[in-house]
Amino acid sequence: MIPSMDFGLMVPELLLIAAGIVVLLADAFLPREAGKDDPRGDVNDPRGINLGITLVGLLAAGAFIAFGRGDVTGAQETFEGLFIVDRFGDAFKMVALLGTILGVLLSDGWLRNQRLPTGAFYALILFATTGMLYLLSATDMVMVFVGLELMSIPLYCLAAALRWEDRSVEAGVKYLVLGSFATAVMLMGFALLYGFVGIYTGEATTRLDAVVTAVNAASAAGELPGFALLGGVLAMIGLLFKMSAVPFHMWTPDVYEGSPTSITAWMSVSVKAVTAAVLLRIFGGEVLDALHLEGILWVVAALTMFLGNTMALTQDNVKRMLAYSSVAHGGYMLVGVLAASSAGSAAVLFYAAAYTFGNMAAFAVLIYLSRVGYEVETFDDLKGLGTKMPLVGAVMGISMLSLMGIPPLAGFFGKFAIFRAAVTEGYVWLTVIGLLTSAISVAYYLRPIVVMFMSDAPAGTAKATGQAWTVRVALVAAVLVTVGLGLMPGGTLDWALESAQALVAGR
Amino acid sequence: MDPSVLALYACCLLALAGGAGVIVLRNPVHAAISLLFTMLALGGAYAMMQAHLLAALQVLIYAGAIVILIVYVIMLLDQGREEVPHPFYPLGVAIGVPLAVLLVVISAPAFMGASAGPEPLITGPEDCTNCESAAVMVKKPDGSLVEASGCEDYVDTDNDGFTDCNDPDCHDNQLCYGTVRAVGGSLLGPFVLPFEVASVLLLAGIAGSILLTGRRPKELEDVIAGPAIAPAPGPQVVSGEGRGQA
Amino acid sequence: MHAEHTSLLAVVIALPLLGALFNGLTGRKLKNDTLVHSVALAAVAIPAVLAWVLFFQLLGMDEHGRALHQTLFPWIHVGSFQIDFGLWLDPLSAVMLLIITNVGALIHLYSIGYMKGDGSYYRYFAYLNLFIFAMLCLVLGDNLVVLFLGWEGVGLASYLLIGFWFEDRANAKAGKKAFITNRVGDFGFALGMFALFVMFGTLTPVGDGGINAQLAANAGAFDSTWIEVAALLLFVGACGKSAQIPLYVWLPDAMAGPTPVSALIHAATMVTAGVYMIARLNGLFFAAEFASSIILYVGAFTALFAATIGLVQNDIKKVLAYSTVSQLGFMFTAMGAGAYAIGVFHLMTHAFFKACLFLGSGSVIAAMHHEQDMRYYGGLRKFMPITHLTFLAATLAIAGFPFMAGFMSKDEILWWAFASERGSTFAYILVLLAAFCTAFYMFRIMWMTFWGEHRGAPEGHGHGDEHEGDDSHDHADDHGHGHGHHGDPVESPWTMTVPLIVLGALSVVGGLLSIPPIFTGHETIHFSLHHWLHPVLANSEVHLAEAYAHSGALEWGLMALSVSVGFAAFLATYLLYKGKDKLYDIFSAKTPGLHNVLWNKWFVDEIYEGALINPLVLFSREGLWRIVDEVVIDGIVNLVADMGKITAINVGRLHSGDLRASAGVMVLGLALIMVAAVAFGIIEVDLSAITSLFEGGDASDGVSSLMGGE
Repeated sequence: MIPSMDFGLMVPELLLIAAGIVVLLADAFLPREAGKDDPRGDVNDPRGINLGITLVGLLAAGAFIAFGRGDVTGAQETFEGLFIVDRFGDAFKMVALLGTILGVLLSDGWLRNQRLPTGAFYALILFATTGMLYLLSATDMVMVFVGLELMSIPLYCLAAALRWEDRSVEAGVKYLVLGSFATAVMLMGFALLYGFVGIYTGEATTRLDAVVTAVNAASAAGELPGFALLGGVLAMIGLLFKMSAVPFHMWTPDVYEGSPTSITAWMSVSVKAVTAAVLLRIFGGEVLDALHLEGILWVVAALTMFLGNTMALTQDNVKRMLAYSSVAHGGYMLVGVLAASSAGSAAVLFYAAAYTFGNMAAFAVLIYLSRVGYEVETFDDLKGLGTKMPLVGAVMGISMLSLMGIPPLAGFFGKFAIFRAAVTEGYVWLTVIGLLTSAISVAYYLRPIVVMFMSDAPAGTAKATGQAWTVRVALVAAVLVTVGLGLMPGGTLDWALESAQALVAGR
Repeated sequence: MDPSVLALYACCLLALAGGAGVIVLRNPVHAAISLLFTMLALGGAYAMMQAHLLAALQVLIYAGAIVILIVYVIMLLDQGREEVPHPFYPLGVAIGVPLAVLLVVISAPAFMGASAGPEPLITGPEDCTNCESAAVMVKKPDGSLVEASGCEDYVDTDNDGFTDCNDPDCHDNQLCYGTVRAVGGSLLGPFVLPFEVASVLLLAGIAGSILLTGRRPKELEDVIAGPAIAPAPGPQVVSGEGRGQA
Repeated sequence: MHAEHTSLLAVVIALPLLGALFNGLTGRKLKNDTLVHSVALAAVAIPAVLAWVLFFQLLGMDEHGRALHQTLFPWIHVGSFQIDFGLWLDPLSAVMLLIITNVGALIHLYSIGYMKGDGSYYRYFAYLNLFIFAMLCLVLGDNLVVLFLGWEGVGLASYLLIGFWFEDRANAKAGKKAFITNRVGDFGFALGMFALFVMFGTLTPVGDGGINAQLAANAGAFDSTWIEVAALLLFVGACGKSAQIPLYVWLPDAMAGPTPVSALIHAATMVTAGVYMIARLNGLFFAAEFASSIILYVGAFTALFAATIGLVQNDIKKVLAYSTVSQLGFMFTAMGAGAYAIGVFHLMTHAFFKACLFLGSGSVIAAMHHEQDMRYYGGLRKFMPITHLTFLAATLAIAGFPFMAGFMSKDEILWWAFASERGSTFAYILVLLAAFCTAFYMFRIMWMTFWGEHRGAPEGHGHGDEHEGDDSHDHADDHGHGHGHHGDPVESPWTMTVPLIVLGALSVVGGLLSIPPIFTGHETIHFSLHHWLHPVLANSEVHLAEAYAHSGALEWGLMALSVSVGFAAFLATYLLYKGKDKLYDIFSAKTPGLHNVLWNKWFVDEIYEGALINPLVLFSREGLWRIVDEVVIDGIVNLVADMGKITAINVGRLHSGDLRASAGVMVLGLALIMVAAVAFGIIEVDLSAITSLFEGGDASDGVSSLMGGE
């Protein structure tokens, strides 16, 4: 039987796929021209056509989600319920798309500079984003798996994009091997859950809602077998890996350090946001209790917050510091996942948005600096740059303060909403751990600010290595949203809450 | 014990042994051959579970194509003669083996049927749960064709000892588990969306290979000697350097 | 209390923000100092006028309904947590509003002269406007979140202004110190807010249903332990912002910033935020008796402690800085004793005389070409008559000369510390001694700076080489002068003297705003500050019934005692410093031990360094880093890798132990989860399932049923 197909619900995903294909074709058929600063005619995409197509695709997808959904407020399903559109998923899709747009903007100048094939690069970004969007609409274990792979495999390639640098290749290979390992673990979990549903209800199905119902029913009746619990644990571990939650975080620093900076920036925010949403969709609510995952997630969240922050404290490499701190931010989102009430889910959404823009702003500064000739590896490389370029320094300062959780910036309200939801749900000690660890984070987030402003400016002028207007746009956009969300979080918080209520109502 | 079940277990054990061989064997070619055994054994296991199409595909694609590709890669990289150092990790064994045992012990009930879990609601030889979602036309005893609405339609129509699903005389109705039609119906039926998304995944794979193997920029070529993905010799410098020096 | 709506409040806080934005964004391009300071001054002066308009509007309202309210926009809505960006003007915030805008306007005016020719003129005024905006948020916010926004904002502005000349490493360091110390306080404040929200379900202290009103209606309904905890946590925040023991260390260092900043932020307004916060939440602190006694003693100890350090400092701004810490201690003593109105009164008079003192010192410093060491001053009376007179007025005020501003407020504090049911004789003795020290160091400044002979800088005294400590700032370069070769000091321009005269006059008469009841027969007169604040504080007044049972003679006696203490201090300085040549040596020569202790500020910085900072650094570097990362993580990695090396000859990069170790840690995590799950009985291990496999029989049923075959 051919299932009912409503492609109208899938327009954003289809737009992204189409954009990806068009970019690949454009890259193949457009002539390579000699650029102004490159007489050899070896420039990829000299007129920014690939960049344009990519941005148009992403913006169109975003615009459709924002304006094209019509008046329907409830969840809509198609493909026999394999694909769901609800406000919760749409909200996270917006966050992921915005993060991707910023990531693309940050990539552009660097790509030209490195003379990488822009078409393939952008196509991979678009396909990975498609994967994220499918993941956010997935209501079926098969879809979760396929979506996760569609998100991950392009990321493995993108991490290794700078393939003549050992660090980048290492990042790609590590990510690939460990990511596949995690996927295998998750699949094992899905298989066990599938088996459980088949045995328990007599109807083998991969539908997540059926799994959740069966687990809840079996748990209530006290006849949930060990292997079903095991399945739940393993399935969650696969997702926790993508969140780089401790102890499944080992790949994070190496991969983040080795990958191209723009890709690091993008993955550290969008992948985390999407994975947190999937965790909420699958494990939010009573199924967490039924599967006895609460305690495990509690410990993982606490460890993630603690180790992420303490490790970040000891880094001298700025990207590594941001990598470890992104581990910690994953931990805060996990606290919100634990408190999976509508307030908790809304908090995760807001936190993801705040973190996306705050972190993007920080990475944008690093990329901008490298554009204008200051390649930043360690904190020492930042010395005095704030004095030299006060606005760039200010952006760095704002993003660091937001990531720290200092009011009135976006990060503060993210943390605030998360902890408030956690306390309401009774996770007082976890909140205390969260507060203490974010106090630790102050120490290392202050470092860039201190170094940038309180050291002597480097002598002489550096040579700019390429145009940077896209980076500037991303920089300004990220920092404006960070400040804007902080000064007026009311509307966004309401929006997050409405979106989260859609999820909770659907449970 | 049913001989087919015994054969199933044998195949599974062989697959496991092959997997262990991939890890333990030091010569890359040997390891690849060991992987071949795993693939073949899995094919056998599928066959024992009546998934004949899957078994054939497993042998054709994995054993026939992918493993052979791996062997080619090994030979092209000229790694075949060298024995890859394969240190033995006592700690890994100390953690891994008990974990494996624990996993088996915990998940065994799933494969042992109902001994730990509740009674399955539907049992018996007519249980064709895996076909139900495909559109099935079954021949009623009176000879009329009707659309099956569930497993109860899977009956032995002509009383020859085979249920219709497996009745060699009943060609129109070979829609059951593991058959080409069943797999195809499943992929283009309820699972059409993941099937199509998987094709995007393949496209992404192609884009990835363009990115990773495309022409290298000219001015950088002079700087870098040797193959792009060749492992750097010398002591490991993998992590650590950024993490240190507090 | 029902509040009337107003639209003026938005204008009042918007103007400084617009001024800051204008100067911050365009100042560098404009290169027009006149425009910059005109905009900046207007952005404060107009609100100052509006503040008076609002004040008279309040005055015209019914005494118990005096409140104006405006909601700017809905702000944070998370579940039951509904916070709007609202502004609230009642008698208490009106007092603060008047002080901030008017003193602020004077200091902006003064800055025009003081900062003349500075390279970052526009930046300075942008920061100063930003500070005014944040401070107005702090005092006008109708809930603690807006207050906290301002609280952080003033911290930020202060941080920026302390490090204003950030080319100077010491200044930058001072800025950092202020920032970090305040984070400690803010942490307490945030936790306190949390506790309040849990208890009261709101963070609005004022109006119907506010925290104060809830407590006034039914104080017994709330757990007293939690009230104490919340009050103490908030007080930790106040300690940070208002520089009380043990978090005061940043304020003296903060004098690295420009002098008008010290006057505005670190004397008159920002540092009093803690006092204001306690007054705002008077209902809470009134209900928290234990916390109040802590506040009383912390305040009294700080008052004395800081005053003793002030006795021996030679840097004129350092003395005033410790004086500020000490005077804040007086205010907290009043708060702890339950005399909220008196604390606010002292806050106000202190704003007058301490701003005057700082601006006077700035005038002197500017005249002395940015020399801050009083040993090179002396005899400035004849060169700078206006500065001298206004400084003298402020000195008399702070020293408690009868009927000057400081006399009125300080004497009230002493009286309440002694007589209030929350006070104690011990606290009284502490603040009385502090009053003596205050008078002593102030007259010491007078002798060393204005009276006696002019000494000038010794020949060959270069900048920075003989300075005590590392905190005197050297931005004299901006002015392009050498040192010691430029004639006599001259009086400052009118932009600097006008604010001095106004503030000097206020230091003389400001005390009349609230004449203590003893002069008026135990009745508050109608136009007193005390009476003005009464509607806000009505439910939280500690009664002096017990004290009034004593005869009025006791109060007169104590007043006479404190006045004579002031005169004694003057006499002591007269004997010690009058006409002495190397007068700065006297104290150290007579009592070298005590001098050493005081000179080194009781070694508190060293104690912090030794007892807190070093161990913390050591812990994070040696403990966390070494143990967690090197031992635990690297240990696991190395253990795995080392074992590998036993057999491995050449471990290639991508085949190295590291990737395995990463996977290994994942597996380890999985194993630990599984073991924990089994150990806690979450997952039950059923061995019978295994054994059934070997028994044959039903096992095959299980398999086939799962596989769906026959």
